[in-house]
Amino acid sequence: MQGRKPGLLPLELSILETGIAMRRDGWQEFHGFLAASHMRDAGEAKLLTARGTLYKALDRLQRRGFLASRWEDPDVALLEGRPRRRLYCITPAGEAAVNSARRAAATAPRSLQPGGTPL
Amino acid sequence: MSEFFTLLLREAESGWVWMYTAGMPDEARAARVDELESDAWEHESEANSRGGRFGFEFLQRFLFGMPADVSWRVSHGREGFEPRNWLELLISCLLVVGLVVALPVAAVLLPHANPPPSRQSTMGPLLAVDCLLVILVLVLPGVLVIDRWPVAGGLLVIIGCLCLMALFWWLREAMGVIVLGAGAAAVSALRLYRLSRDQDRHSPHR
Repeated sequence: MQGRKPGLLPLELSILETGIAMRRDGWQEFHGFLAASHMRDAGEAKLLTARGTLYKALDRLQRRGFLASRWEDPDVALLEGRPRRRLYCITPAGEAAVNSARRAAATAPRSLQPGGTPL
Repeated sequence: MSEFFTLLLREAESGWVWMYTAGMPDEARAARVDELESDAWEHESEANSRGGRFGFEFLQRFLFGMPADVSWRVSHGREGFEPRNWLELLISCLLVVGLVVALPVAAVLLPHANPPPSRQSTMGPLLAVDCLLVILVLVLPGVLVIDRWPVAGGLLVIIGCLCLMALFWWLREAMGVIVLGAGAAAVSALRLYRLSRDQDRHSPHR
């Protein structure tokens, strides 16, 4: 999005981290609701992320090149009797952004980290 | 939450998506609608399999996501905006104003308004004739032609409903204004949304 700062928002970081974790578990691609339910199950969110918030974040990540997406084959969806899914996968740029965010968090002063002691 | 209410909720959400995507290029709009439809299906399927309360969760996700929907729409701005979409956008704005602004205002202000003594009576014969006239001249023809000419039909229904609302307003029939306004706006939005979706996908039976 134009005019936005280059850093990742907490939800964007959560989505990317969830995508990476899911890939470790064998999911090469994920759809929006799957990411939301994984984030809830992993305790990163108490409730399922609101629809508008989730898809806005996914859209922003895709526009910034951190996610790539494709539409599922309609025949597969038809066979399973459901609407077709939009499938996302993390790009190398997305992985780099997560690593960079982690490094930044690790090197940040304790007072700026969650639970850190204020100076 | 009953199945009927869940269905109503999903339709209301579909109408909301149709409204805030108005004026966008067909492809981008269809993609958004498809993605949210898929999300709702997955959510309902997951809630059914684990015995969750789909209706409440859906309502919560829908309501809390509304500001982000608007922000998402604003971020897409005028990309691909075509002049033919202006009328559609105007209708959408009318519906949004009707639903989001006018109805809560009517709900809050009307019950406290002091009705003029001469007009305090309930539906008199004059009002009944007025209402019948508006229904016969505007609402009914609008409903009849909305399938063939969605914009013209939708406008007739909306104008007719606004006239009826004005009549009720004149008599300070608060509940009449609220129920009629909400019902009319919802019906018009749903009809227009469905027609628009059918046209988008070139599939008359969806």
